[in-house]
Amino acid sequence: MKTFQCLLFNLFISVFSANIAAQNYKSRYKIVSLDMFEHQVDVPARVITTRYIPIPFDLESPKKYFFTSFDTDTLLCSGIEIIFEDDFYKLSTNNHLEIGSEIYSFLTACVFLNTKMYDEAIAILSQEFEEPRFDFLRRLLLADCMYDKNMDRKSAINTSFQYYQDAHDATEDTLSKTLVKARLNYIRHNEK
Amino acid sequence: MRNKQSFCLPAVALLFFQCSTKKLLVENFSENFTGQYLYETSKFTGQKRHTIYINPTVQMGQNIMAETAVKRDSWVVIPAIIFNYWDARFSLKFGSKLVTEPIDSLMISTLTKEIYRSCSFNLTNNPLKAEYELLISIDSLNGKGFYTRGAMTLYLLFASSYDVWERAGPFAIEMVTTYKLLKNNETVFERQFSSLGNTGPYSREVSDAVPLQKDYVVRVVETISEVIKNTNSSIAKNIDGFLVGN
Repeated sequence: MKTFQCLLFNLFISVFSANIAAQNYKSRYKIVSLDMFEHQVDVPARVITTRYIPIPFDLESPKKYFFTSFDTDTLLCSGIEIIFEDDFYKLSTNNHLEIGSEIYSFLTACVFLNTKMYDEAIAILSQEFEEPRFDFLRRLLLADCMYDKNMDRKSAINTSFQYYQDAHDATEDTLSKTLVKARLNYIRHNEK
Repeated sequence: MRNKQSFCLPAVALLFFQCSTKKLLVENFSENFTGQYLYETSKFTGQKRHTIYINPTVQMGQNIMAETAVKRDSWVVIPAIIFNYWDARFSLKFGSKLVTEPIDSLMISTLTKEIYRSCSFNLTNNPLKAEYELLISIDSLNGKGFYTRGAMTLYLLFASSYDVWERAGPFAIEMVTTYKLLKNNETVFERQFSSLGNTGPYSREVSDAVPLQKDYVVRVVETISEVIKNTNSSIAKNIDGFLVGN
């Protein structure tokens, strides 16, 4: 009977810990292509606990492409993946990136955002970029900066809301609009 | 006596999970979230002709400001020796306290933004300068949904297996609004609009890392936002249509 009691106790602990583990999650950025996001959006719970940063396409080995490609989209995808993996020091070792170019400025703003230097990120992201492909992402990340910068949750929502609306209006793509809506649910749901 | 205690253990554990479920559900549905939403109507860029004053006092029907209610509809517990099972079903009633902003002021502020964005007429805060006055009343706001949580355990001598499941929704919300456009205190245009929305049904298996309840409550607030959004779009569009015709 002692064995049986031990088994019951084991079972109780395992069910209990699984229940606790299920409720512990942390909010974070996740880099996804819009194609991938289309699949993620089907899992509602994931959408409200994750902030997705959309990139044009997925790369199998972003670090490799970051140092070999001259294509802006590829540099954008690989650069963002590297930055949000906290390997942002690699940005300075890329000889393809011309200092002062738009892609360089944009990636630098991402570094500031990831390192929680919001004022510096806002200073870059508030400027208009000539390259239209940055426009939606720039507005989205600017809204994120506005939300994260403000420590009070209520005023953070009020301040960032118009910026999320601007990002929403800046794109005609339905999936990108869905992504902004998911962001609104993220800020609704998550404590600061 | 010892044998009795051993057999009671799983039943006690299952009852504990069942009690914690209701507590957690009440906790989650006692929180409040912003009801603001993203505007999707196209922006009006032309010349604005008429001027309207929106009366900030929204007439509210009964029970609109009620608290959210959580009620357990049914529950089943099977505390057998090698197989345990429990399942509880809750019904949830929407209360406007789930939304951070009071419903009436949320309605006015979002309608104002909607009109500024998409309509061909202007708004003013001064009733004396306005050609028309807009009166809004929320006649009813009702919402109801379901939530089910259950677990099953099967244990043999050297192995055990368990499963936990959650099912939520659909949570349906209906809001009925009446609005009147007055000119020199006479009603020139009046409509009633009923807006419906629901979260849709969805479920979570134990392997998903995020609890469903939090997601569910956010979806409910998202639905009320959608309902208000549809109402505002309809009001703005209909009044715009009326004024263009005049």
